[in-house]
Amino acid sequence: MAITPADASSMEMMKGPHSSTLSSPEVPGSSLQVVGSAKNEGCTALELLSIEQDLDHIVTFSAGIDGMLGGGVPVGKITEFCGSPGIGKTQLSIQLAIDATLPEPFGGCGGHSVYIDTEGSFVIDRVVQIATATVRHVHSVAKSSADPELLAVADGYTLEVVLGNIHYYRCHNHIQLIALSNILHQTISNINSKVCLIVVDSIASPFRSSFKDMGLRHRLLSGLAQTFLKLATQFSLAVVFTNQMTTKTQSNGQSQLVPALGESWGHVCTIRVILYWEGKERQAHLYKSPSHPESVVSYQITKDGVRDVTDDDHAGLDSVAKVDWEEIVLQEDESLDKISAVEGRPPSKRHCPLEC
Amino acid sequence: MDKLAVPPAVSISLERAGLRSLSEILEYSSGDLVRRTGLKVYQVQGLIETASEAVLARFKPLTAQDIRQIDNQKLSLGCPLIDETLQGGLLPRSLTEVAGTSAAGKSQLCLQLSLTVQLREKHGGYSSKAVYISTEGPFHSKRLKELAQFMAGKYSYLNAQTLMDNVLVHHSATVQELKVLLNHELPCLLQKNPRNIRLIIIDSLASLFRVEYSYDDSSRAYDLKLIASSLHLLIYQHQLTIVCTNQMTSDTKSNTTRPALGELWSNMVATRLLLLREEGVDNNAAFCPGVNPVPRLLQIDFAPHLPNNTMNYYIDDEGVHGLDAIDPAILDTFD
Repeated sequence: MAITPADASSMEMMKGPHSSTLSSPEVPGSSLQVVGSAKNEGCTALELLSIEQDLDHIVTFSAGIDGMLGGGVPVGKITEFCGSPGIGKTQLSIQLAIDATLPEPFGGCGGHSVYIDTEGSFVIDRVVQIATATVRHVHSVAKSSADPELLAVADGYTLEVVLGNIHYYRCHNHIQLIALSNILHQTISNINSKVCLIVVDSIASPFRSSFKDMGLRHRLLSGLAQTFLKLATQFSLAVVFTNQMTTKTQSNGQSQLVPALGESWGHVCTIRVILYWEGKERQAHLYKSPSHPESVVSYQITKDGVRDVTDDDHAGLDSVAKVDWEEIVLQEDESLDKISAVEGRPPSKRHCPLEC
Repeated sequence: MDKLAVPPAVSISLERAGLRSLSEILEYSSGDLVRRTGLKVYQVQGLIETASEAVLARFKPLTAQDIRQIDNQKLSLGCPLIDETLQGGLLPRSLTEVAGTSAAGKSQLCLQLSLTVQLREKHGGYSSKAVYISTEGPFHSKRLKELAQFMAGKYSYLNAQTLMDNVLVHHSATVQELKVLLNHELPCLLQKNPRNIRLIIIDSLASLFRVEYSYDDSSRAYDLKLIASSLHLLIYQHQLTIVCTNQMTSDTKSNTTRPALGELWSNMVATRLLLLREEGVDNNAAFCPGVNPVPRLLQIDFAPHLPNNTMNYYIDDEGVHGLDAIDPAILDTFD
């Protein structure tokens, strides 16, 4: 088909720089400004590479998963963890929220994290448990290094600081989640320190209950992802979504577990990791990533949080679990006593016989 | 919606476009809103932010440190050993599922919970009443009376009559009835008794769904979702702990049994406890020389705060008790 000069000129217009229309005086205060590359003047792939390499990662405390993702959950991108209930999505989310508060000399970002809970599975006891272990880890690293600077940093890193740096939101439906995402940029600006991470645990839950219009569902989900991606680049923070699994029946009648929210959602997240059981071992499968090859690593959930599987653990996974459990009981005892002392309850009520 | 703080021009355009609720506004993209209302881009941006703030008006920004100060007392199951395995008991404001093989003791545990919730806070209860929704045949009132008498014997401030009176029993024979109960009758009841009812038990959810729908019926999944959302709404609005029981189904592919109702339902549950009677029972565990010496197995299938531990338990006249193979001293107290 021949192209008339008029067509050509209109095409020229379409190719014109977006910035001219977006920053035009008609839209004062519009938040449609292009984020990321500051003035949208374009940059070369080489420049992008150096930006990419400078980007931080948030460690997971499992060297296996970190290595698979190239150092942890990347800043500026959306990472999705999918898995069945009980596989450790919430544990990983809590671990990441805590790790984002790690001081910089200890491999963290020294920032705050925003935790958006849609399932009600953010159990504070467990958060305290993992945070305590993380604080202990930082202190022991500082002590063994005997570097006065590190020791000073570690001294300022306490349980109260960690917990104070995790900002918690509970969303009960998709409208609340969308509303929250719309004003999150204000919230993040209001927090007087750097926010390194937003976790949504889970993205699936509000969209899997009582949605009949799948077209609307997909549109809302894509809109949400876009808002979060904008936040990720604007504030250079990492966004983590967890997703559930669903049963898909194939044409031959066989059923299979696949990530929920449908095929189209699969395109939205930059990085997708699927968590699953292999026998008695938890495994993480990097399913989609623009920069790292597909791979599978093992991990485990201990009382301290997400960790690698070591060779010892292979020998006796069960016995390890039991030992862990006893330690937890001991720890619980102490914290219970402390709490009850504060609240004036009789200490260690668990040991009271049932008699009144 | 009427109180939405937007310029008059914007609210007139909204009226004209037929947008009346906050959720309608938020379900449109900004581009759609510009087209529908004829407003300018910056006006729509302002509108979306105002609407978002209105939706979140009652949100309080909380840090984990703040949450730690909130009362998070767990609900005791009435046995110190089981409570220890569950690190204190059932999570407050949460949905717990008790799945198990037949005759494993699911209903027994539920009955026991309907009594422990009436205990005072210092004994692991909430000093409040329980709603017991029964779907399988008649309610086990005789057994509840038996348990109530034992409970009243242990705690001087309780008496068996009040204990029984404080368990409000409902029957739902169909999913439709359950929906009406959860969406209309219970909210009314809870409104009339603010903070007086803290526990709801559904025994059993599986029987309703497994009778009424075939396995691959898509409306089953949809109705399950609706029930789950109703439950979560009740939990949120009334600070409830909800317990559902579930049956086991056999997986022909791997020749194992797993809880019924499918993956979708599993995702809606925060904690799942398995009660097993036949398989995996440690026969070497010490068992009580009581009336019912069959040791059974309690397993934490998943929970946001617990490792996947297992423990043995048994059931006798006084209810469900944990069994500690290492420490036989505990058995003396039951002699």
